[in-house]
Amino acid sequence: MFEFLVQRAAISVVTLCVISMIVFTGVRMIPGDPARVMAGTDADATGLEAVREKYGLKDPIPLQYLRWAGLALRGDLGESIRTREAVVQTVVTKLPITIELAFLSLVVAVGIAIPAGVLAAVRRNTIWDVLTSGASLCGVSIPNFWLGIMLILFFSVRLSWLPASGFVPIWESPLANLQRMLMPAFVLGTALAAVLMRQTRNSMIEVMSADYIRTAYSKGLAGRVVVFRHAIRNGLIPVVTILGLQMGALISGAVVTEQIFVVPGFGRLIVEAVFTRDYPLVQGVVLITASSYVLINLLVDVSYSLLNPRIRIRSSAGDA
Amino acid sequence: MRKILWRLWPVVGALAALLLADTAHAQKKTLVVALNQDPDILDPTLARTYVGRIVFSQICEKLYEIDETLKIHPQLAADLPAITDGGRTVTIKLRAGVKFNDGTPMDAESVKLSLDRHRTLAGSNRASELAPVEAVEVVDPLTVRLRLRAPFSPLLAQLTDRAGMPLSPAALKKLGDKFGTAPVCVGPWQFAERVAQDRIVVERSPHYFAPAQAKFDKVVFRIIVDDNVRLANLRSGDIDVMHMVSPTDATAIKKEGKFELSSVTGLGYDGITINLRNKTGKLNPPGDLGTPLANDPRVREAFELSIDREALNQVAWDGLFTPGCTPIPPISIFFDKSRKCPTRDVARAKKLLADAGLAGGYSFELTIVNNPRQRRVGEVIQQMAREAGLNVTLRPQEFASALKDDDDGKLQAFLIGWSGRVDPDGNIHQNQTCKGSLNATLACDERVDALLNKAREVSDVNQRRGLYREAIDLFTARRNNIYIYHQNYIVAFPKSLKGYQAVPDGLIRIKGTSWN
Repeated sequence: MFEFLVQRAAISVVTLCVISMIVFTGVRMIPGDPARVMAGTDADATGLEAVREKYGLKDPIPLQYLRWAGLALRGDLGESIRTREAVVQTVVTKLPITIELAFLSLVVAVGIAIPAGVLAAVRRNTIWDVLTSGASLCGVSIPNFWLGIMLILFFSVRLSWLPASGFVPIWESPLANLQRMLMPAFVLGTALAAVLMRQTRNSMIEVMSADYIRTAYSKGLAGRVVVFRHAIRNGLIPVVTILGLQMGALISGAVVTEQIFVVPGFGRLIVEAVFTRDYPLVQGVVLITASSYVLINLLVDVSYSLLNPRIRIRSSAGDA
Repeated sequence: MRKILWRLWPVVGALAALLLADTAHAQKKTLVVALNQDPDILDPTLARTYVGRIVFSQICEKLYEIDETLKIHPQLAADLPAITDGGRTVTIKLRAGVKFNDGTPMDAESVKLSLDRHRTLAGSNRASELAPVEAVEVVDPLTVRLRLRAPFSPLLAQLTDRAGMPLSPAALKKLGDKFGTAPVCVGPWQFAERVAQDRIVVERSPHYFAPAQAKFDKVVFRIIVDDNVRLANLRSGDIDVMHMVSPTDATAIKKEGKFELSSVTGLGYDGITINLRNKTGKLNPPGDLGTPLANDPRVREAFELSIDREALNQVAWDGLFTPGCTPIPPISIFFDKSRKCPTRDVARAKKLLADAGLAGGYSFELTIVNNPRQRRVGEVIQQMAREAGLNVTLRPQEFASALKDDDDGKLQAFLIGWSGRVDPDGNIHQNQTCKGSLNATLACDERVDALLNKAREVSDVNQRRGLYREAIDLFTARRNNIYIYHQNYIVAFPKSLKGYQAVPDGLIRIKGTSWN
């Protein structure tokens, strides 16, 4: 297990180095003069030069990268050009918000998808299967922005039950926090649930037709026992993979939902930072997002081995 | 099944309680204002965004202020300045008994320190605005004197904006170039908190000299970028004041009868910039672009004559913006009321094209910023121009890269606006003079330069108006900029909010407003 972890951790470090280089260079490839964006449309040539000088924009890109990477290794990701706030500080403020939203969305998604997927698989080719598959298709097809706006119009404007937008930290008011997170988590969660449900159904169908399940039935075990004790653990392995990937996507990619519900999370931060050519912020945020992505995948790898010990054994034997 | 339902009751109950415990409506002691963009750094010396000025309006007052008619009057100054020495010396008396929001006194020393910082700090966005100021002197504890290199009439207008904001010396000493993270100025409210891209909170200042003007304990600026989402939040009561209402939404809001709409013609303009001589970048010598659009004034005139400004305003903006054909907005005392904008004349446009040897039509590219508003305007222009034989291809581009391409001379025509300044100099000089920092078209006419430079030196309004009239005649004829309309700033708020006054700079001023 230790060897397995070291191997995965080493791959993760290399991945992060490559990502940081790609991001650093990629940001500088975006068309448009960052100095012009930073200094404003009415800045004169002297003003533009001053900005280029101040942020080292005239140096060669490799030199700029080394300077940044050196500071990043010491935990200094620089400061936002727009607000002068430390990037680390900005991330520390935003990350818990995004993680909370991602977590709640996952709760919604898992809460809907796994029971529905299992039901569809166990009651295959019945009305339950048709209903859950139909619901899943709807979940995938409905765009986030439409669903979000509809929820706001119904629950906030018409019924005045929930605040239309915003964020209140959980330690300030758990109730206000939950009120504001319900709709965005639902929007993100339903889209994810649709994907998860289909994956759960397919995986469970495959598992339910395995020999050991037939054996379990032939031993006279009750259907519920067979499903919950024998089938579901194996059936969930591919689902956990999807969950891991989606969690990463939720952290970095909930842009539309964050925009609609005005949740001050990572998605909005990245988009705004790119549009304003706030290089240090883009670099810092992407590096942290990538790190969390890598970390989550590492955890997923570990969870495989917990769900199915054969994976761990194979890895130890060197054939994983 | 019944068992399951019975077990679900607590969950249902908890959800109901959650839904009914409504905290959505802001406390009446707090006013929530929605902005469409996150301001940049809240440091008057370094700031450059328009929305940032809305926040400054509550926490950083200025030496001078403008009113609804654009008239300038003292705010932190005691009186209008005394201008002597042929316009080279400007003496400003300060209001007595004013304190910064940290309780330290605002005096001539602090004003000098602030003005010097605006003028000289590396990266200052105020440096060019105060460039004519050679030195700032303290005459007595409540008087400062500005020595100018040459007479500069727009100076007073500059002091009605960020260049005229005194900053607390104590806060400057403490925070240095991080002043914008916790700005301290003079204002009815003081900075309390900022969460980037989410909110900026300001609280009532205990040190403000006219405390009765600040009726709200707190003002919260929330950043809501999307027009539809801002509107939904207004309707749900999550925000109280909505900035930048889209004209297409304004009509619907008005019909609902719950909200008041304030609309004021802004100081800026929107128009089409046509590249005349910028071949390799605006800092390089001009070159021949070799296109009829750049080289033949008849083609540009035909293009302008194909545009129906009034119809465009109706189609794209529900008639709520203000058509115009000069960079000076109608509210300005320098606006020339006698000038008539060219009306649409397709027949003449066709004739001009034929005279230019383009009877079979002419095609060119119009770059637009890739957003729904600009696309709408671009499409209307495209349709109008087609009838005159001009095939306009729209090229949507992200704002920053479009600006870069414009500077580099890669664009033929560019649909772009300017947020505007109080003094017309700020709308014209940088764009139309040969060496103007915003003159990406590289159009150059010594006569225009002479007139615009002269208008900076003289202070008589009638004389300046005459100079601008002459200059506008010249540069509207060369058509390196075709001015189309002035945007209106539309703000929506509940009918119970009283005292809101719309000023042409479009900034929301909370001071003096209150719930009915």
